[in-house]
Amino acid sequence: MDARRLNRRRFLFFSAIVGLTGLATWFMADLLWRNGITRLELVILFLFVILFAHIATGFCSMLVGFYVVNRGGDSCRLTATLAPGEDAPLASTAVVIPIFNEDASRVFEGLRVIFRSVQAAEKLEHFDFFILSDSNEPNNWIQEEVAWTELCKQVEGFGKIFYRKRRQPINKKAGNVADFLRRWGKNYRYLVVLDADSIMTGGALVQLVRLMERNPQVGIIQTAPRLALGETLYARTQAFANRLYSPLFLAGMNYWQQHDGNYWGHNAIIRVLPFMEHCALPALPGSEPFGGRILSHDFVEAALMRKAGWAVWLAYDIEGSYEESPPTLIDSAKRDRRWCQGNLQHTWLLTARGFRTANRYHLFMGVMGYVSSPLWLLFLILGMIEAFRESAAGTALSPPDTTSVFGYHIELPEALTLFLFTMLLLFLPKIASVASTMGRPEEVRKYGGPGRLALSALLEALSSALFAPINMMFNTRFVVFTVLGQGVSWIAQRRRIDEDGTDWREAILTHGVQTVFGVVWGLSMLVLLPAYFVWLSPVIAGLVLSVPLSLLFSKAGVGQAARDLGLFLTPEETDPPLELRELRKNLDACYRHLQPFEPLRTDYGLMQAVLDPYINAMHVALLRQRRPSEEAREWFSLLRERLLQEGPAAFSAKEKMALLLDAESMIWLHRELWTCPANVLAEWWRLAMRQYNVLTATPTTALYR
Amino acid sequence: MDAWFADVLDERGQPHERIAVDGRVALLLCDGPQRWPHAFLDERQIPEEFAQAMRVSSIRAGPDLAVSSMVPRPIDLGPITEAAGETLERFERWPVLRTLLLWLLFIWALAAIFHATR
Repeated sequence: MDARRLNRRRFLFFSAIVGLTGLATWFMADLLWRNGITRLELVILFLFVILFAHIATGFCSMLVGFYVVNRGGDSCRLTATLAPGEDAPLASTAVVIPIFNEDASRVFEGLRVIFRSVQAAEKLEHFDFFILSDSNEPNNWIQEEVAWTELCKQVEGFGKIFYRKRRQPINKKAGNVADFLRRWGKNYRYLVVLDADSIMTGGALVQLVRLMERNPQVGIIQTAPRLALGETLYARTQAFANRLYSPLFLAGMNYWQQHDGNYWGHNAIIRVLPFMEHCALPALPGSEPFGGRILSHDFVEAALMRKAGWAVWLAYDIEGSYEESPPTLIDSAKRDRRWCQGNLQHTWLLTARGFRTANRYHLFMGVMGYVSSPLWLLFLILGMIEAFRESAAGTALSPPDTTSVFGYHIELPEALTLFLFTMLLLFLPKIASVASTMGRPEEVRKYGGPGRLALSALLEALSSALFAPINMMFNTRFVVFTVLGQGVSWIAQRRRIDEDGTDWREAILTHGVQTVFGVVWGLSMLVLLPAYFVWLSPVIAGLVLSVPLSLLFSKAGVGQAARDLGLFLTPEETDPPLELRELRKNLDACYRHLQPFEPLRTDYGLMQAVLDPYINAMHVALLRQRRPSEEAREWFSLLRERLLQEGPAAFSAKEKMALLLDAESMIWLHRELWTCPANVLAEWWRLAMRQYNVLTATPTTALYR
Repeated sequence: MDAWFADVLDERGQPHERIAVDGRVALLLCDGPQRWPHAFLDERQIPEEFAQAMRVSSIRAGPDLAVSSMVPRPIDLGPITEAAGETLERFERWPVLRTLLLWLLFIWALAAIFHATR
């Protein structure tokens, strides 16, 4: 697209935001101006402008997307550079999955499905697959090793599927990928990064490579992953909203950003050489959480790629890209905690030299995604103070019964006009998405029919309205704690294996403060300012109901019941692609297997690596051969003798990992365990050896079939 | 057992710990116990197919290395951000400065509330 046309698109898009925000600000200023404007009211107005602009941005993206989609698509999208069914050439591509203490069954069954899909597309010769592990839990590490070996045996994947475990997880995921690139990057032209819960079909992978080959000036192509495989009510509503609303939203984003798109860290393809040359991340001033290593690396890598002159595109219309949603509201908040910290760091980069304006905008919107929450809370509180101050001073005027726009009077209370205008911007995009979908009967059928689609959309809107204040409180806390340099500790979830959903104790401990805050706030408003309470009631309702909402939406049983009623259905549920069907079937088989015996469960990985001859040999074979110093040798010698005599409960995680990393110790432990007299061993080891003949020694995963 | 592995794998010169490891890995990868259940430790008659399968079975966790560098380049944050960064680093070196700033903010907030309520 030529620069003039692109600038025109951007001018129209951002002018629409300014226009809508200007109009809303007019109404708000008029409401506040009637008694002369105070400094507090100026601050309220300022906050209003920021918050409304944020809403208007989302609205305009959806509006533009609605226009684009109903016009038959954007002619200026990257996928249009390939003709349908065109068999363009491919190039060497590495598919990497960085993992950190993930569910090994999920990771490797996901990889199996992707591998088979690429194999079915008959393009396997162009792809290599890497599991890049930073796991520091012995159980996870050993499960990964064994799962990798078994998967390679089953799909004949040796030489195609590789496993690398880092000794030192420097710089987390970004460092993990950088380490891969330093070792093997030069072997590949492209790199596809997936998360542990990502799925990409062979067709999608092949299409991405073809697009990169066809467009040599492109550095990154980001797909729009659909949420799938959700079981809980929360995950299903998120998947429903994502499926229904994101196509319009993303089409709108692509309309104006074009080659100045963003990178979201996964389900994307990257051109290796320019990425290695330009996108290694430096540290920021200060130390974590606000400075130091860049946590949210993706936005910055996109900005660096653009700075170097390579295009970054959003291929929003590529099918076959999926990921999973966090299963509960609390899990989502935990993820947001990490993202909040990472996005706030981007504040350092807003004025960085050489960055494109669009990338500054992406970084800014990432910051605003979290900073808007404390601003919203401040807006509500200051509004309440102002209302109380006027009421106490006796200067509160009755609200105007008419709305004045440029001298014309409309018979509608002004506050209501502003409220309706705001609601229009919040909900019209959803209505437009539903209407747009209703025009495609085949697609409507996949949502359960028009009635169920409409009802599901209504219920989703209601649930998101209730979740909004809960997320506001979470994000406010995250922002404040990050700025103060503090981490946020979470109460560890004591989840039983057969427990469905969030533990009620965790829900109370996590949402307790929000509930109390909501009750106190609501009651005080009801008593002191009943009129203001009415406006605030949706916010209060969300906070007061946070515990039951969190519990209810975390249940897979409730999610299943909703599915049985035909609610929140998505095409990925009613007409799933082969890859998702296979994955679900395989995972069902995995999770039916017996769990390890309770007393051995905590150190099951270490137990297998020492006890099982095959797992021990495989683990040793995968270790790098090192020559430790005499001092280290002596330390290891004492450590492994203690391990056999006292059992692993007496050891720290660091000590267990140290032993697992030492080949000499692992060989010695295996030999000694099987040869030394039983009375020398700790009871734990004696129990392990007795159980070894009863339970299968292999990790519990359907990979063992 | 180590000697038997050494014969099957034709690795007589290796230390016995490595032979034991290599042998068990080879058995795992070629499904030796399942496919040739009677061949294990049989010194008289080792099936040729079994021996072949054992010799070609080895773990390869990664392809050949192609080492290259990926070095971060400093990002010019701009004058405002660099000044802010220097200030932040100064605060981290002198914790008393941060404490003083927090006290100043507290006093300012008190003054603002006092003024607003009079």
